[in-house]
Amino acid sequence: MKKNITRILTLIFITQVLLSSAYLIRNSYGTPIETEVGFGTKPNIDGVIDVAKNEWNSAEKLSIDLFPNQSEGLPIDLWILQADLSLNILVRFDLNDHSSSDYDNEFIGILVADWEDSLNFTDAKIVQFSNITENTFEYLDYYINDTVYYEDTTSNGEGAAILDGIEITYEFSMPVKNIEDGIEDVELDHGREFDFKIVFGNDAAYPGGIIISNIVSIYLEYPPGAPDIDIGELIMLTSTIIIFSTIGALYAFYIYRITQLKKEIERIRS
Amino acid sequence: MSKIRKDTVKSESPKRKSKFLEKAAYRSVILSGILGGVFLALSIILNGEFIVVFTSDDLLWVSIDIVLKVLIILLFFFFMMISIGNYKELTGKPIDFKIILLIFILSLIQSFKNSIVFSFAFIGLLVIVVYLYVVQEN
Repeated sequence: MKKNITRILTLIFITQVLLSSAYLIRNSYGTPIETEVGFGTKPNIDGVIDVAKNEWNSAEKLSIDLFPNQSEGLPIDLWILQADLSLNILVRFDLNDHSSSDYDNEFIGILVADWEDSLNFTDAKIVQFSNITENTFEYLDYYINDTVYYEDTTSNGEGAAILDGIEITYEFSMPVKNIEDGIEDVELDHGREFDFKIVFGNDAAYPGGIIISNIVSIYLEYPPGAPDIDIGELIMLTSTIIIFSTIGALYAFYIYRITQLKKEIERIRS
Repeated sequence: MSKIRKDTVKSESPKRKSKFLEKAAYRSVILSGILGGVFLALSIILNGEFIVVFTSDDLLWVSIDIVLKVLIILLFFFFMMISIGNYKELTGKPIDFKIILLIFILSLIQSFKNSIVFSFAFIGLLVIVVYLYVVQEN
C-alpha cells in the first residue's frame, strides 16, 4: 500500500516537472510570441508618431524584451499595424547608453522568415545609424543566404528612426502582397503567419553586430471587408478539386468495369 | 493408343495456351489498374499540392520535386495504358485513338498547377505514346 502511494506521488511529481518544463520552454527565449495585427491607415515612416493624425492609433501594441539569453532583456514597445498593402512595425525603447558614442552605429533590424519555412530568416530590413547624435541613418534591405547578408538589388519597404533624449523610435513599413519583390524578399501575404525577428545592435556588421533579439509571429489578416480567401487561390482550389475528382471518378468507373470483366468475357464467348 | 493421346494433346494445347494468355491478360488488367490507381493517388497528393514535400528553394530539391511529379504522371499513364489495352483485348476490341487521347489528356491535366512539370510531362507522354506505337507496330 505504502509502495503504491510512493509510486503515485512520484508519478505526479514527474508529471508536474514535465508540465512546468513545457511551460518554461513555451515562454522562454526562442519561442515566437504570437500576435495579430491592428488595422489602420499607413503611417508616415519618419520616426515620429504624429498624434494629431492618430498615427499608429489602431496598432496592436505589445511590450516585449529583447534578449541575449534568458536573463533580463531590453524592454521595448512593439507596435504592429497592417494597412491594405503594407505591414508597419514600430519599435520604441529607452536606453541610457544612447548618450555614449558606443551607440553611434546603433541599428534595429526586422528579419523575416517565409511562412512555409518558419524561423529560417532570409530577409532583413534594417535602419542603420551612422551617427546617432546627428540622426543620420540609412534604410537597408538585405537578403540572407546561409547567415551571410547580401544587399538587395532593389530595396523594398522603408524605415526611419529618431532619437529624442534617451528614447528612440524606429518605424518600418514593408509591402504586403507585392509580387514584384522577387526572390530577394520574403513575399508577405494575407491569411498566413510569418516569423519576424527583431534584432538590435551597435555595430554596422550583420549578423556579428547583433547583440539582442526576440521573435514574434504575426498573422497577416485579410483587410476588413475583403473575402477571406484570394479569388485566384479559390479558382485554383476549385479547379484542382474538379480535375482530380473527375479523374478519380473515371478511375473508379474503370475499376467497376474490371469487376464486370469476367462476366463480359463469358457473354462474348457465348 | 499413343496416336490417340498425341491427338488429344495437340487439340488441347492451343486452348490451354489461350486460356493461359487470357488469365495473364486479366491479371495484368488488375495489377496495372491497381498500380495506375496508386500513382493517381500519389499524383493527387503531390501534383494537387495537398501536401508540399519539398519547401526548399534550393535548385536540387526543386529539381527532385519536378522529376518526382513528372515520373508519377508518366507511370500513371503507362500502367493505365497497359491495363486498358489488355482490358480492350480481352473484350475483343482494339484500343482506339480516342481512348489513348483521353488517357493522355487525363494524365497531362494532372500537371496543370506547374508549367515546368506540364512541359516535361507532355514530352514524356509523347515519348511513351511513340514508343508504344512502335512496339505495337512491330
